[in-house]
Amino acid sequence: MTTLAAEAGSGGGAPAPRPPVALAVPRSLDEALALLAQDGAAVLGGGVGHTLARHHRAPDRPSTLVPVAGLPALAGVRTGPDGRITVGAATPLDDCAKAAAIARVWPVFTEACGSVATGRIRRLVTLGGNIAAHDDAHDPPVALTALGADLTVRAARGGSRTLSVPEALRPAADGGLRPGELLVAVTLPTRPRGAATGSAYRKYLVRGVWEYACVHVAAVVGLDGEGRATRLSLAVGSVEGGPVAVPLDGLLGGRFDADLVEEAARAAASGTRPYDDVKGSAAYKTRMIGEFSRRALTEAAHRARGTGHHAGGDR
Amino acid sequence: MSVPLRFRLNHEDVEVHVQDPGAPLLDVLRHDLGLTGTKSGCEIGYCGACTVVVDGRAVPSCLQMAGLVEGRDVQTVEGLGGPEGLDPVQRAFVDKAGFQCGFCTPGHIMALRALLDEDPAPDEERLRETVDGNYCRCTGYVKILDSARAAVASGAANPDPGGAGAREEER
Ligand SMILES: Cc1cc2nc3c(=O)[nH]c(=O)nc-3n(C[C@H](O)[C@H](O)[C@H](O)COP(=O)(O)OP(=O)(O)OC[C@H]3O[C@@H](n4cnc5c(N)ncnc54)[C@H](O)[C@@H]3O)c2cc1C
Repeated sequence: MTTLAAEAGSGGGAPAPRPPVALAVPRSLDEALALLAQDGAAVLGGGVGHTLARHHRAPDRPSTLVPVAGLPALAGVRTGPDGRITVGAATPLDDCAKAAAIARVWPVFTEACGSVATGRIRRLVTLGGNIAAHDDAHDPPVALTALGADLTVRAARGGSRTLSVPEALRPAADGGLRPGELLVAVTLPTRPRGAATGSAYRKYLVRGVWEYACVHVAAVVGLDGEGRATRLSLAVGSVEGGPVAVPLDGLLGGRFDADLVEEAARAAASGTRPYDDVKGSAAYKTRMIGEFSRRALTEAAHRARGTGHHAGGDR
Repeated sequence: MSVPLRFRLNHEDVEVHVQDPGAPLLDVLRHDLGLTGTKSGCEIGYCGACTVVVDGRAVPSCLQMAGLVEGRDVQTVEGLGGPEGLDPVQRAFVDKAGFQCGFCTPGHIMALRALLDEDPAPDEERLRETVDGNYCRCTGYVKILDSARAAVASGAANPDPGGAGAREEER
């Protein structure tokens, strides 16, 4: 055994930009909840967000981090007896992207998770950490918004509650995840029987290689035997208040054709407010939201009809 | 105040007293352990220069919280090679001149080492995906990919099949 000890306060260390945190490793879910009820405590998922936050000058830094990756309740992908898929909040995004059970039912979620950064980073980032970061530029929440997923949340006091996306993504005062609450799992809906359903995620990268989206859109389309739309869900991220679910109920019952897609794309472009940044001006992004809504809806409908995979071409 | 952190580093058990378990593994490697083979580039997960192998998988050590490696297996570029000479991946980079300034090289080598430990015969797409996580600002990646292909061709799969890399199966 090699022992390498750093003297307390020795000059050799890196300049510490923030006071040290303590890691309190819980042995059970209840213990985790009790730890999280204490002042200054925060959940530690993959730790990517917390590690990056060292570069920020945030005034409210957690003093204790509670790692949850070892808790069985938060681990892995399971299909319940009702056919609903539940993903533990500590599941790395790489595992979400590779889960065949998810890809079969909701490719929109598979694609959103698989579009995050690189495989190397997806192995670290957890689904719960990605969602709880409340960042409108994150990919998985856009897919979860189109799907209308449920989040199971626990707190030391107040027991368990179920929140639905996108409400769950709002600030705590508006019904979202509260400080001290632990996101335990994400449950995806079943695919309705009787209607052909397809889903797709489209992420537009201006540089053509991995990064945060310029524009990203998730679509779920349900079609009846006559080709009429029985479900149209479209969610857009990287916009104000995002991810935003675009209301398309007025188009339900109509034939799913190019005109319907055009109207839906127009609704997405006019109903969302992107912002200017290095990836594009708001005006440019609005046009791209229209274009990528078209592509996501068209692909979702192809999948609903079983007319094959029309991947790529988004760069 | 410092806290002890115990993990396996380059095939040896180590205990290091860290000031802050919330610090990135990168800082602990370079500053506390003096292992400066792992390079510090962007520090925000983009450039890949700091890539190390944790439990057989390549990760950017700037995003890997040090406290979370307790009890785990970490390999850095210092752990490659040995009395017999360079690791076959390092050998391939030398033979194919897969570097210019060399700053990104340890990251490339560790990422490829992890890939080959997991899949001794990766196809071209997997090689490209792996290289995708590492920025090189000198070359056009041509010689880096040549080196990667040469490493595959030389049968650079882990000489120690019981090692950490052999544990993780790609799903
Ligand atoms: C180079 C780079 C590129 C990236 N690219 C993308 C991208 O393309 N798309 C994308 O979506 N994201 C991207 N990300 C961002 C990444 O998804 C986020 O940083 C994510 O929040 C990290 O998750 P984590 O599990 O590591 O989080 P942590 O740091 O552990 O946690 C993040 C936050 O969530 C809280 N939290 C964690 N788990 C839970 C839980 N179970 N319950 C309640 N709260 C919890 C934490 O307290 C903290 O506030 C990128 C990051 C990097 C570094």
